Amino acid sequence: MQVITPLFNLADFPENTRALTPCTLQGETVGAFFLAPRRAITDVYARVMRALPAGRVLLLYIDGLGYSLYERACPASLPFIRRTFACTAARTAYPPLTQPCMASMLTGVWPDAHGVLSRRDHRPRVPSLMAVPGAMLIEADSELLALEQPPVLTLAQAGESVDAAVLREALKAVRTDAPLVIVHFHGLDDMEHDVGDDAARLRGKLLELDDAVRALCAGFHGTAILCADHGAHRDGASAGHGRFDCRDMFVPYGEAVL
Amino acid sequence: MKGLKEGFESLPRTRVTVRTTSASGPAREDVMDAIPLCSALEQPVRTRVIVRAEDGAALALSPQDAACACLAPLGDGIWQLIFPKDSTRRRFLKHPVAFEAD
Repeated sequence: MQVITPLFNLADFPENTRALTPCTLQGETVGAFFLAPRRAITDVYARVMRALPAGRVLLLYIDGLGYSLYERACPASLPFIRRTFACTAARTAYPPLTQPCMASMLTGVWPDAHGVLSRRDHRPRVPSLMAVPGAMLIEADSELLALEQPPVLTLAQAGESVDAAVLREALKAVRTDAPLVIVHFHGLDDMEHDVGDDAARLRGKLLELDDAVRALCAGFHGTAILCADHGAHRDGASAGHGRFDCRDMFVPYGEAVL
Repeated sequence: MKGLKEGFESLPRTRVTVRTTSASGPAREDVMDAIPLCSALEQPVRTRVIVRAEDGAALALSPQDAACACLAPLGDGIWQLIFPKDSTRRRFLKHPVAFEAD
């Protein structure tokens, strides 16, 4: 059985250790966490619902930003995010794929409960944050989950990155009075699949995302939450995700009052 | 399929090489015969078209996207939207059921 911590896969770890927390899917144990994770992406749902009565909430969701990459990226790659959110490690859902993890983040329950078990599933069977009246979800060009309200789909214009297009629409959303704005940046995950998970090669994309988060926070008053759905591990010249691996299973989580 | 010409299945096909990335493994290349989307659409794409899939997923296409997209048969009357020049995995949409001008 694979045993992991936020930054390490532990080989040949004794399975009878009391400090192990199993990770299960459909009754099967897929691995275990050494020391129970203090945070989980399912916390996002409850945290947003608690914060909403006090004011607006901005949920910044960076697809593919694992805690491992967050730690490996030199501070200069994510200066605003590090300074503002001081993220800690949160465990994500198994399998660490966008649809199951995004569903866990937005519904507050694990895949066995929301029913999104793979990339082929798109309809959670429990309420999500998009049931909040007036909530807005800014997506790239794809609607990954069929939720209570449709997302704003964005298309990159000539010379514009997919994340720049999302930022363009997200800036409009934060200027509205929407109580909850969820912004899903997808360009990092796309790039990891293409070039791998090396932090130096991803530096330009990380800087672009840091600038995007900075721009959104500058125009927003309320509670901001930064989170990701899954990380990625190197696989040849590219990177993949979907395994019970520390690089896939832990993501950064942070909050700030703006 | 809503938004496609009646009998689009019999339109001429072209041989395309498609590179797809995988969530859990290395990229792979497949060669398939597919119908250019532009020739199958009832109306040309002016601003964008939203493609809705049977499973609840959806994808927005610009005129440029539509110009390079193809429809590849998966068998049993099911089709897949593919992008031969773009390996971004999330844009490969299985079982489209409607192409809606937006």
